[in-house]
Amino acid sequence: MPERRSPLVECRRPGLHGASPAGGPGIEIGEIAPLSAVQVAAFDEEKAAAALGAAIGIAAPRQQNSTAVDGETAVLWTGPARWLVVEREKRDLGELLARHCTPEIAAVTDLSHARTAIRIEGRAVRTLLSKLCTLDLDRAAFPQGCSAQTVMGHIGILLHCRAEACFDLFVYRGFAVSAWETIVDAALEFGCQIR
Amino acid sequence: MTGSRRRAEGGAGIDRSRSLSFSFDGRRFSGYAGDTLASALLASGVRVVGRSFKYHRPRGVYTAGPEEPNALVALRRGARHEPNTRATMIELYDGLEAVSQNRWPSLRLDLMGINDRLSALIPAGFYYKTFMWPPKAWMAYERWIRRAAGLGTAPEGRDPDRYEHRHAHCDVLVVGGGPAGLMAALAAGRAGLRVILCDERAGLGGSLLRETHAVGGESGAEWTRSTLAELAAMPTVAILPRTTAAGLFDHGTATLVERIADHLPEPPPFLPRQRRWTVRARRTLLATGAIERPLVFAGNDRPGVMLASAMRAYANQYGVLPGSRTVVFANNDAGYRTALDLAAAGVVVAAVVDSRDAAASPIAERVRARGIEVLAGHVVRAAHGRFGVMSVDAAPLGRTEAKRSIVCDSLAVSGGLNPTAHLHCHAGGKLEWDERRLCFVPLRGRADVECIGAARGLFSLAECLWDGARAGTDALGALRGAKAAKAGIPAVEEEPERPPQALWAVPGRGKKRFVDIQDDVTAADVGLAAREGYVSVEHLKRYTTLGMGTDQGKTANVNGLALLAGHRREAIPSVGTTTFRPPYTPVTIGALVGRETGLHFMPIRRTAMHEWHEEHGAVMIETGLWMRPRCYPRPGETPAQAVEREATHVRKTVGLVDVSTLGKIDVQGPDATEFLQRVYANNWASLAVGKARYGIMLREDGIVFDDGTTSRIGECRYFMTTTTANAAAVLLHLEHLLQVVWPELRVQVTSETEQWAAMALAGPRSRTVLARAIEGVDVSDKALPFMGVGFGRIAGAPVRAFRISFSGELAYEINAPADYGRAVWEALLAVGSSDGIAPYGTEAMGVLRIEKGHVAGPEIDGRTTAEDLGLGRLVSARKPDFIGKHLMGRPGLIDPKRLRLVGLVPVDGKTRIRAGSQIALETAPATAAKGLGHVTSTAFSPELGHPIALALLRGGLQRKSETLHALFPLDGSAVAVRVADPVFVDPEGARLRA
Amino acid sequence: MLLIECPWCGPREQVEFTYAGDAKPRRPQPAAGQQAFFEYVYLRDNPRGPHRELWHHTGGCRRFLVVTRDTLTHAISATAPVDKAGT
Repeated sequence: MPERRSPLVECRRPGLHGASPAGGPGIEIGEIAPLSAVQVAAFDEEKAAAALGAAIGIAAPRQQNSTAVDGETAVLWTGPARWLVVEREKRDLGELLARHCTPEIAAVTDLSHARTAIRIEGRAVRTLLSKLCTLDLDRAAFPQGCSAQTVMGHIGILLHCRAEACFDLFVYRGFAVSAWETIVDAALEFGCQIR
Repeated sequence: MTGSRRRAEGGAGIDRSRSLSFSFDGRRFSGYAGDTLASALLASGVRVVGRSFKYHRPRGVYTAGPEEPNALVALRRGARHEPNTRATMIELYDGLEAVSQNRWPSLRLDLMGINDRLSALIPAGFYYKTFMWPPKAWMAYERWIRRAAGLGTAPEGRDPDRYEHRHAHCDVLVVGGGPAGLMAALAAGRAGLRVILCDERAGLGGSLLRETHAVGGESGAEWTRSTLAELAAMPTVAILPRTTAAGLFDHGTATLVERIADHLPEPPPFLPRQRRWTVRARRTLLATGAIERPLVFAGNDRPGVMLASAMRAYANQYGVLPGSRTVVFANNDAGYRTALDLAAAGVVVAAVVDSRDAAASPIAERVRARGIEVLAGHVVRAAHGRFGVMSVDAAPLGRTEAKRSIVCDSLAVSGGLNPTAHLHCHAGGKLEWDERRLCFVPLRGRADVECIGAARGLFSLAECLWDGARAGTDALGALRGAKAAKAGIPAVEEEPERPPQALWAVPGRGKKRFVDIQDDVTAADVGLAAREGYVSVEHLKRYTTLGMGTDQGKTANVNGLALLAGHRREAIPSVGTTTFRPPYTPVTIGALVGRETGLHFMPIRRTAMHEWHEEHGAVMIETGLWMRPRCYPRPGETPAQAVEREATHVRKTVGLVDVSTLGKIDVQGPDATEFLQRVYANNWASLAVGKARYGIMLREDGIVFDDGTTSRIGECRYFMTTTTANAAAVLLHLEHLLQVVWPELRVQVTSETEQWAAMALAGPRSRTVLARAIEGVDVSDKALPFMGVGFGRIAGAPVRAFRISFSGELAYEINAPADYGRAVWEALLAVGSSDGIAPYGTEAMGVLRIEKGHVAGPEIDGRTTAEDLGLGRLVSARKPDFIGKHLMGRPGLIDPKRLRLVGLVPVDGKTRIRAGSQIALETAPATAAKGLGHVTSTAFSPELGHPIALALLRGGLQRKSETLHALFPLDGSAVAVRVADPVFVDPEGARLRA
Repeated sequence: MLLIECPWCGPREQVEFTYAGDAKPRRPQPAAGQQAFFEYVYLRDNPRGPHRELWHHTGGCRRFLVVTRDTLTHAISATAPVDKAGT
């Protein structure tokens, strides 16, 4: 199998960009690649949740905007009876989930190549994201473990708050370069460390 | 450098230890940190700061706030040049450069000042009446008018600064940091609500900084400082100084514009000059204060005439005396307060002219006690002095003969207060005339928006503090259902004030009495408009330009409409007000644009092979947000030659094109087949797993929606493709059907467009190339026939090979997971090099499909039926139901006279037919209007060696072989064309089945 | 700029949504005839006041919802999932 080629390979320039504040860069960003991202869209929510749990050992979150995380694997609620399972590629996640979720229970769609995952962290991360999307990113309104799909200008994104100051941002692959450029530009004032 | 000639003691708002130097019209001046440009100019003795819009009259600083009509100056140079900024709102910084506007050659000697003497010849509506004939001359007139009447000039060059947007959410947005706003924020903040408090000035405090009232035993400035310190310490409160609320919109949305770097010579690195905030507030409290009205009398625009509130502000906040001998003219008690403040600052107050009759009033007595003359029942009839007031004429109201001249160099005027209810009106709020306070006050409208303090007509400081505390507490009750402890309201000492008197204009004849000082609209203009029938307030505005300046009539409107009411002999409320629209004050375009300029103007959607195309010299073209390779010109080749070569190459050998942008939808579920049966017009019941089919989708009204091939890749799973343009619309359509129309169907649809890199390998040698490249698929015609699907590997990457053809040649569409796309693309090119494989772009792809008569966007134009496009035979007659079935048979859609798809060739065999041409029987352009149809797609066919076109023609192929004319009315050209079959190449389809 | 309470995702900005028209018309049975489909496709009330309409949460969960919006004031009095809204 050839190596997976990230769309960011051409535009990602590691190092410190923009301001150099005394407290160090306010933002650090990098890509989570290669990515596995598989959608499970249930016809039978109960059975699908059980099958998903059986496949990867994580209980599928049932609450809106919620997530379940185990190490690098996260199950993100993306709508009623719909989840996106994401992790750094380490197994054939699509095949694994499809084996457990039969067509009667759920539709499994491998979107590993359709999404690009960008990890953004640092003390300025919530301010940065409030420049890019309309969500209420107050710590109380968007705590750790929260996720939401929204738009960043013309680009649809999925945000996952992994920790108080760490977000994973998923973007459609074709928009990855533009999204990256926009994020980096907006982060320059804080000092942006690119991994 | 000119020193500060008019700086008095006091002035809590300036820092005398920090001197700043600046220039105005090239002259150097100095001021202090905390000054505005206006206060620094006044302190330096500069009286004339601009020329008026129409008459070019010398004008001075008139206000101390955002309502300023006169002191509009241009800031900075070059690309950072910014015209029409209000000197009253510009924070002084070291090195600031400002120049005056609308004068030539200089402020002192403005040759256009002739307009003032000719003013009898240029009344309201002058331009409309005079420059109507001859119509063609308008362009010449306009150039002259623009020179004579106008404000600043646009900057040259691209704005070098950054701007950005930011989103915020809060429980309570408080607009305005004066006494009411501070108390409201305090009450809400202490209760733990999320509060955003914004104020358009650098320092919050509003009137607390400008007036001399003690608050809770401290000065207003001291109380403000301690209150701000308490607010700043609250984790849920954000304070935004230098931030104007420009507009209020639905559902608690406010647009704020924060001026981050306007008070600096240049923005700090990486910081924007301005930031536009979009705030969602559950409750919005408008503590926007009030704006003083001028008084209308002859010469009321002379430099040195100034609002009384402004004079107090300059004296109290900035320690600036706008004159040394001042007359105060008012119809309310503000006149007395002004006189006392000015006297305390060291100004000689020559007289207080109060239009109201004498009445026992403690404050008037105190003024008299300071030895200041009080002329009760008097008005100022005129102010004299072209470049600055030198004297005023005072006379008893209604008695012109007893005129008295008072020597002075400045005149403070107060015509009462107008609550600043602009934002309230943006939010749909209404106003009500208050006869006692003589102003429009806001009526309570939307539950989530409330005016508080002076903005609702509570003009005393005590009322403002009380109302702010009440509103903050109410917000807690409304949002949390909780009751807060009443915030302690600091004590203030104020005297009760007598109500103002209605005085909309001092009677007078001859001399200009200005109503709208910025737009040079006089009381006479309002009268003229009324006489000429412009009696609606909206018509008055357009006819006279009253309130149409950059200040939007903040000081002018109420006087203007009160005068109109007088002419109509009606009450003021029956005349009404004009509409308040955002923005409250002018907003820089950059703040609206934010980051979305240049590289960030629009996102670009890139396919997995994007960089390869760029590296290999592709000319790229936008398709929606996608960028696609249009063609790959070789050295010395024009794009047109490249397209011809690429198309020929596909027909003769083999080519490879990136088709990743086609929409791809994963359709899964036990009812997937039934769903496709209902979605497509053709039959899907019998498609075997591993087979593809061309599908045509109609809209419910029977018109063609989209087309594409869909393949069955599992028992319960289909892989649908759509056109690039309709990818999002088709997905939305399917979701609508599944969620709203047929929720009983167990089908899930998901966009897979971005998952797959897609490329079409087309041409007679495509099988040879694919056979060598792919592992695990037998590509023989028997094993992988036309419309067959195979699963294998190329360069080690898993791929799907669909034997489908858009070009009409033997062809395969290869899909690979996107991260492998470039590897697979390069592998096919490498493997195919011995067969002469070459990449081709969208343009050659278009040529091939036109040669083949395949319809695309220009034909599927939202008006055509399947029958119109020659696809009628595909539409199932047997299926009981599908989208579009029930309305496609309407008489208008089956009329044989409809436009139908045909091919066209030029009769001379060489003239190109232009897309969009109208088809007619005759060449005369007049017949184009009743044309027979139009040309949709055109190309030069390398295969045939002559131009071809597709067209929608009345009667369709019934006109085959007829000679018609393709007219292009834009340039009057006409091409004689012959009607032909739309499939120009291989009509039997032998090649794609080879 | 409306704030729409998606029954699935919570309150979200209007930019995330696509307007999808009146929620009232229901697709007739296949045998209902041309007139019934004509009315379904073309005939709409144009009320001044509350209006039940379909919105699609395109930038979010991609579910359709029924929004009751006052056409005069833009005030939204209710939002509900399609299946629970009785359309």
